[in-house]
Amino acid sequence: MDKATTEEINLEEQARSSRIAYGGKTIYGARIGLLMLDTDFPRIPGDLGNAETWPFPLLYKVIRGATPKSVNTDREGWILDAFIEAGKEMVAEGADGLTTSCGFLSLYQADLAAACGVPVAASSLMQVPFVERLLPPGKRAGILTMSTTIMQPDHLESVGIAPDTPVEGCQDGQEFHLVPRRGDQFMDVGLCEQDVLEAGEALVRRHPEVGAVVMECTNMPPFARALSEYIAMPVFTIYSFLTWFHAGLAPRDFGHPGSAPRPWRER
Amino acid sequence: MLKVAEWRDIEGRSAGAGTASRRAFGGKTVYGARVGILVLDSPYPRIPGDSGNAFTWPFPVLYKVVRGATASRVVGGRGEGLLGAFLDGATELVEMGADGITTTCGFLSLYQAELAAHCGVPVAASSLMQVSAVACLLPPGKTVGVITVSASDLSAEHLIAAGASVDTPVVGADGWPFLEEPKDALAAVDIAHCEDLVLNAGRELVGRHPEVGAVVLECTRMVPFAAALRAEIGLPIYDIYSFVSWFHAGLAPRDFGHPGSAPGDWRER
Repeated sequence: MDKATTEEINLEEQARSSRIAYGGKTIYGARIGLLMLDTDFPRIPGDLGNAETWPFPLLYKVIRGATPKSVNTDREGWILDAFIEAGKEMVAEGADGLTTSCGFLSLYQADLAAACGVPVAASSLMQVPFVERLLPPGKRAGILTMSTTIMQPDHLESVGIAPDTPVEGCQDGQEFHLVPRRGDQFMDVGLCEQDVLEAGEALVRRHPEVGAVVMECTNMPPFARALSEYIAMPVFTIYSFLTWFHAGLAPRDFGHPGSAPRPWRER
Repeated sequence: MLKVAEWRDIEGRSAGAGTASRRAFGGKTVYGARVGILVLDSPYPRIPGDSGNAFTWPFPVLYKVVRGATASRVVGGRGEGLLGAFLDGATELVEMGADGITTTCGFLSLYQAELAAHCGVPVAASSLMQVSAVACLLPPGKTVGVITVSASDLSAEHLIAAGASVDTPVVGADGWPFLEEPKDALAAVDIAHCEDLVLNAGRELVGRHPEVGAVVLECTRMVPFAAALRAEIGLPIYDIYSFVSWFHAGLAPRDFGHPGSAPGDWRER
């Protein structure tokens, strides 16, 4: 029998070492931890809190007592610490990045990132400067929010968005803005779509310099396609933001020849 | 209560959402491929993951090769004399049906403003445009690092044009074979060697700059090595694949079906 050549020995060595797996997490495969407000209205496909929305798994944690009203209207002080604690728990479990279920929580971006020590994509609003960079000079990104009465200057300031960015809200609509605070577990989706399309139309009519829309609210992605076709411009949402976020946390493996077996690890 | 049928027109169109309309509108020649990619003129293979390999993308794209735009002319030569060809190529792609434009070279951040002004659609010219976006995700004290094909050619001007900080740590994958002339018509490339160059650059980057909290790969041919680099240095890795996938998600938002969407007027432009 011939002795194994050096190359054969090296390949065998490589094959053995490439089948070593490293730990450090408890749960694997779910790279993003989603910190959720305490809600019970319906979350349809496209909503960030419906797991079928995502082409990858996430970890979910609900912060009990953190209702939309307590967070956005009353801005209760205990909530940030509760988010940080939950965020740290999810990182220990296996999350490599964190996000939240409310676009207004741009307010928490800096503190969450500092405390939890992983990248954080707290709010869809963070896309605004980068969407604007895609556009011809003179064109702006426009924000579509749940409500311009809830939105305050610090929501934009906290994530570096220019205060003169065009913004329009759905608070004059019939259904969409009422759902999170109504307390009943019912939603007329057709009426919600109407509200979002009307608000989007108002945004572009009042601000002809808008060249693309960023939807602040994590309940809005189901209506992004219809809005994009209606106003004939790109519409970015928490869906585009978190799929991009995830792509960096877990880069796609394209197989041969670009990749070859190597030791397996997530952390 | 305002009924759908009563909505006003936007420049002659009426809101068809949820009307069960089966009308379809035109305006393009080719449909379904929303991103147009301007491709450098290169003889080298483009493997899965490379932005010039159509299998890379989870959606259809349109390609236009800019003849004469070789890697050395675009990188070392800063694209001099090529702007017109890129603008014409972009216009052609938009007329065919592209709603957004990108390129196969990270150094083309230099053309971002001209391309966006000229072709009337959003432009995502270079992966480097992600640097300031990624920086926003990171804890305080952490920065974004860049791996490029040529650190000596990646200038402050390239970074500024991409909206990236001029203080961004940059490391080059020295000896990147795609910049050189091929030895023969077969233009063979050792992909394992390319992976080593990227992994070495990554190790050097984090070794010299421990404050780096995430990496952006400048070169569109580096995408196949992003997963291995992530495993090697344990940091998020952004590249043209993450960037154009995000770009596409805005150009063509996903339809999530019932109940969020209902049949209505069909259009892409």
